[in-house]
Amino acid sequence: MNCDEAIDLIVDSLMDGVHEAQRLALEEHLESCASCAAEARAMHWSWDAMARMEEPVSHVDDPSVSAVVEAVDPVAAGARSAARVEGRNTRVATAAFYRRSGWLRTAAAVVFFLAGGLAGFIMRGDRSAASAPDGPTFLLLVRGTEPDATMPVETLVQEYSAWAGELAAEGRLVAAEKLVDDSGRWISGSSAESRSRSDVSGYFVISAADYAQAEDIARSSPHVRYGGTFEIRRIDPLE
Amino acid sequence: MTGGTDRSAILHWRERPQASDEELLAAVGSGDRGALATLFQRHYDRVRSICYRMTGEASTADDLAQESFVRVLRHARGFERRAAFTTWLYRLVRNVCLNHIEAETRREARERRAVTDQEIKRPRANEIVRKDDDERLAILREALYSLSAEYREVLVLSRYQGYSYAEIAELCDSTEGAIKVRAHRAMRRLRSRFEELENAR
Repeated sequence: MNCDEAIDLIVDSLMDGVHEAQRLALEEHLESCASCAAEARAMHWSWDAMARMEEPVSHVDDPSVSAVVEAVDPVAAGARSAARVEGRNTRVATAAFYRRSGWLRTAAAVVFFLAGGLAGFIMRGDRSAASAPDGPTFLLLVRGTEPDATMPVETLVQEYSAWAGELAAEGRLVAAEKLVDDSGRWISGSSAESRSRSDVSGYFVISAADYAQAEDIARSSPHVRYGGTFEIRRIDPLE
Repeated sequence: MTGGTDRSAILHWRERPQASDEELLAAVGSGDRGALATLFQRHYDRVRSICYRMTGEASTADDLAQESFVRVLRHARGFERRAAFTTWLYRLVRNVCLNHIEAETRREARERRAVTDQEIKRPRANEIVRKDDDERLAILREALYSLSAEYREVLVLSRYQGYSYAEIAELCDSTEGAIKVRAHRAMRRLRSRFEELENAR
């Protein structure tokens, strides 16, 4: 047995098991080879140490199954009908779960829609208008969840499609992106600044004449209609 | 593997507390929320544990475990009984974890490029530090999370889930021989990374 084979066998003995004959051959090699014997000790230590690495408990505030199923459920096709019957309490609980845990599914429809259809809208739109709008542009930050949206997610996606499709057709949709549903990262030079969660789940860049028109556009979106929030900022043209 | 998907799908899970995972998943596919709750109860801890061991971050593990169950719900209808539920579930979890790790790796590479120019070389302490067990454990942890996701996956599935090479091959849609080779390389890489990091201190 050469040293390479010996190291392979040490790994196998830890991870999968070895036959008796292999075990004896390995032991024989380790008795005659100091470097492999040292490596065997190091690998055994590593293997034991891996088991001693702690696994922190879940950060989820309330991992109860019912809350989780409620939170997951809007994603299921058509599964909301039951919740509608159960009424407002369920919806409030669901929305509270979203806010409390910040888990995922903030603006589930935005997720679906932006992941699938939006690129197409922008591509299909008037290219010159889309890439270089003449007038002022505004950033619409998609904030918060849509606590009042209790219809099947397909319906919500259709509403988003209609809304953004109209913007694209008018040449107002400059860009849009969905952000990954994680907590992101916060970098700050000041130690006083400490946050762990963002409620921004995506953004749209639109062209509009002024804030008033941008507000009207935002207000006509399903996100706002169902209780979500847009932060609207005018983009500085830097001219 | 039992047959009769259609039949089990229309039976309510509460009538069969001993229902198999596969039967429950079929029920989830037909809109049974209770069945999902049972699957969640049975498998959440394990899923969350794998997500944690793959990423090393508790809050990320929570998110990824949740995302995994969202995918269970979304893909329940597509389940074909060629594989056991646990295999099918692991493949979902695996995709969720690997996608996350890949995205993180890209992000970190971008950030590294951005800071290379302004990086300041920190003076290394000359004093000899006794490396007690805690410190070596921390170094090993750093080594484990510096491995590629594929290497770490083999170690995680073996060490924390107790799977054999053959079982890991099934989960990863690979062959036992390929997994064995991957395990050998992963363990060697873990050891060499550990020594690099230890010497660097």
